[in-house]
Amino acid sequence: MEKLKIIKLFVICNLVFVTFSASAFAEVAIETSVSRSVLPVGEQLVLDIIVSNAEGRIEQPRISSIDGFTSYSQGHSQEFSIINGQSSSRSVYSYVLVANTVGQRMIGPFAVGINGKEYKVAPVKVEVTQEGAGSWQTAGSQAPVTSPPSRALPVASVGDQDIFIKAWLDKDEVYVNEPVMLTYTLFTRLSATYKGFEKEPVTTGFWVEDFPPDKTIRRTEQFLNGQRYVVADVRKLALFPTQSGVFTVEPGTLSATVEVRNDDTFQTFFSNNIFGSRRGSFPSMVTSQVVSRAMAADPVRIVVKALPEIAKPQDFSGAVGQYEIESSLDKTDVEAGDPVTMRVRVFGRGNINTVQNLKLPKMDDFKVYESSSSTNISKEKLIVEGERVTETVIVPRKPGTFEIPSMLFSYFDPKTQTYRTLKTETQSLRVSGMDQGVQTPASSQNTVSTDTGIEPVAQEEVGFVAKDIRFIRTVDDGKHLPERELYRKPVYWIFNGLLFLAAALASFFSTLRATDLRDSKGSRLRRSHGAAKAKLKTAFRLLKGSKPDAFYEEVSKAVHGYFADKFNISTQSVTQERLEDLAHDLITAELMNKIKKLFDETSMGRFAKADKTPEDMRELYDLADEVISSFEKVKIR
Amino acid sequence: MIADVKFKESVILSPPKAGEESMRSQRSFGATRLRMTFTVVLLLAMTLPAMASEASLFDQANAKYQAADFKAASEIYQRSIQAGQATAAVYYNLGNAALKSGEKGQALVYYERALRVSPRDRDLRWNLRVLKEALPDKIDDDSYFVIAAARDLLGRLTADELAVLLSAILLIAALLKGSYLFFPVFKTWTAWLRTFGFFGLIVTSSLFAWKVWETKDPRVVILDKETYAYYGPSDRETKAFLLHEGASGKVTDTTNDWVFLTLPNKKSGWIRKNSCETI
Repeated sequence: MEKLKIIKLFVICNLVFVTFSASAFAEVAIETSVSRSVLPVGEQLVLDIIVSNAEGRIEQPRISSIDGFTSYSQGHSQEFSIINGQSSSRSVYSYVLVANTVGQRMIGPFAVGINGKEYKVAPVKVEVTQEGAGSWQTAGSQAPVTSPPSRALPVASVGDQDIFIKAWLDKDEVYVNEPVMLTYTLFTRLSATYKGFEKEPVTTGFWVEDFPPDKTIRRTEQFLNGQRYVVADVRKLALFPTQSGVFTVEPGTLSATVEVRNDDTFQTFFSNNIFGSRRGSFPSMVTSQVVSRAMAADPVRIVVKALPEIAKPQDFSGAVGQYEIESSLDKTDVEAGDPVTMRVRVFGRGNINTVQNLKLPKMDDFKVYESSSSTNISKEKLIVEGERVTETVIVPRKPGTFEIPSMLFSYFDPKTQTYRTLKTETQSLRVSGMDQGVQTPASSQNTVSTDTGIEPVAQEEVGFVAKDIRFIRTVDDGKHLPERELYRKPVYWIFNGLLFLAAALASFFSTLRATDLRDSKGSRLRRSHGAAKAKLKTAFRLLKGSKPDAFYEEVSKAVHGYFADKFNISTQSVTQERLEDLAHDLITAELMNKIKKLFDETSMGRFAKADKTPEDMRELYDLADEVISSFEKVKIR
Repeated sequence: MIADVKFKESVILSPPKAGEESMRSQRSFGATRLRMTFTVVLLLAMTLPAMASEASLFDQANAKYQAADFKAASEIYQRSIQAGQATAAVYYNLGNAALKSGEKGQALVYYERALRVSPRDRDLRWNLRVLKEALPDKIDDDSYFVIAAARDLLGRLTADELAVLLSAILLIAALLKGSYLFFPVFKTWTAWLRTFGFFGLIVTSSLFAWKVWETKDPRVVILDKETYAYYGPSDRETKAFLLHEGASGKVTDTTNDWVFLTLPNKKSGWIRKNSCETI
């Protein structure tokens, strides 16, 4: 359906074309152009034959043998344009010519047949110079890698056996950090041009060094399954495995352009195999087309062995390859305080990035500054080489002759499968500068001048050189580990509980006592009876001693003091009336009367000058005793 | 060495037996004295070789250590521990030997054990710091500065020290209160002591409570190079996190083959019992 439509459209176009062509078309013009007029041997130029404003059918230009060139067609393009009613057409036939021999060359003349009429095309002059690699073909990025077509095929019939890529390793088994070469080889039976990678290889676990593409890609011929192939190594990589194990590298996909035959050319017959088999001597008479083709290579497998543990040097840091080492000082005769640069160079084959900076041994007589290092990698002749230069600035602290001790560098040589240890030469350094001590502040550090006394020096932080654990105990401290902590033993808690209880009890009692001291009312109340009893006792002794005045005095004190204490009032304010007031609802009337009687008789005894018989006194004593004893039973709020 | 000890014992043990028989026949005052002397000698004979062997075990191990034969040194230290000489010094040296032979987890176990009795030992604390800096797992308990300082103080005291301190404060309190009963005037003289004592009691008892909280659960150290913590005590459970040698935490639950580990940063999971050792 689609095709039919196109044809219809084409017919309509042609009709329009025919209608206007007679008036609108200008004269037929044929030009040839070359992309360059001077070129070295082995390089290529593009020849265009441009036919303008041709009416009718244009035949493929017949290119007779071009002496000194190998040629093949790059295709045919056509364009129509109508500008302001003026229509024009252009047909361009492109050929790629590769110069084979030196000298002035004429390209052409050619003949082009248009509508059955033969047109001649003027030749073009080109100069081929001696420059270039002498090989007949050079690699630019567009340079065809493979030979001119041994045969050209229709687009559809380009198969996997006609062009394919193979990725391979030069070794199946390597040590960690030993390089393995991954090579991409293109096999082709067609005219093909390597274009580059569409998908880069997956190289996880490897350090990759890509070799720069060769100026000339070497091509060989190989027969595979009875077929002749042109073979070229298009890319080479050096892989440095970073760890041991079995790895699979996905080589990725690369693309190439392949020249294929145009179907509608009648020259198929010639191009098929008669001329094609001999490269260069016959021109390509084929109109062909360039198609791009992507090719994936099969994954490759590699076994990475770990480095042997046996006889591994102590200072080995992972360098694998073949190395050499040298060291030098930039000065051998300096003054104290002047910097000296120590240069250590490690160079050789292998992955130089795995070479670590060599550490200077500890030197007490020098101040050592941080090292700087530079790494240089070269990939000439398919060998990864490199050098690492470490520069360390050291400053001698005091004069004298010093030996800078040698440094060790170990690497593993996969060729001999052994570890090797290299040693730098010891360097001797003469340090002077005592005399100049006063002028240069740096060297004055160690000078004690008699004129100025002792000068302070620039002090430095005392830093750690390395961290390590401290030395063992040489004397047993006898601190036994406890079976159980104290708190896990009930005894401990019982003991603590007892202590707490003791403290709490003591605290309680002392607090009780403190309140006693502060609370006079309570203590008076409590002590009232005892005090009254004591006073009555004294009174009783006075009674026996026949001292009536003193007796009455004492009884009065006892009674007044007792009631004052009981009611927490002063002794003076204790009167019969007051007592009646305070105690009338607490005590019985009988006791009240007794109290009244006691007060009366005491007053009488004290103040009336009546005779005081011992019986009266005895009676009063008993009354006082009875009243106090009875009153003790009374609860006072 | 052991053969040597046995030989000594047998030599010294034999005379008293012979003496006893002869003494029984004589029954003199001198015989009793002789018997006493023999008893003393016998007791010494029983204790001395033991002491001598321990001292020499320690020295022997130290000599091995100095000769950089760390495996042999740690073996002898362990024998010394089995002989009952489980002291901080032995564990410290054992930790050093383990660390020198590359067993970081084992070294941590020994150091932590030594730390239980001598938490203020500068060498020990230094070595522990060096060791912890060399451990792969970074397990931070993200606590504030004040808490970190308190934790540091707590780390410098043993549980027993705190226990004794608490008892001492209680004892002083009891004595003080007791004295007030009889000499009330003390009360005004010792007012400052009461204030200090009160704060001392509060600080000590809270530190003690914290210490008890920290030490009541056993702690373990991972000895395997790598071990997974699971969400349950089985391989079939989901993996929670990966631990490396030297990681340590509290154990709050156990089954036959698994322990439930809680890290200082509160992450927790079940790990295999044989992948760790209790401090």
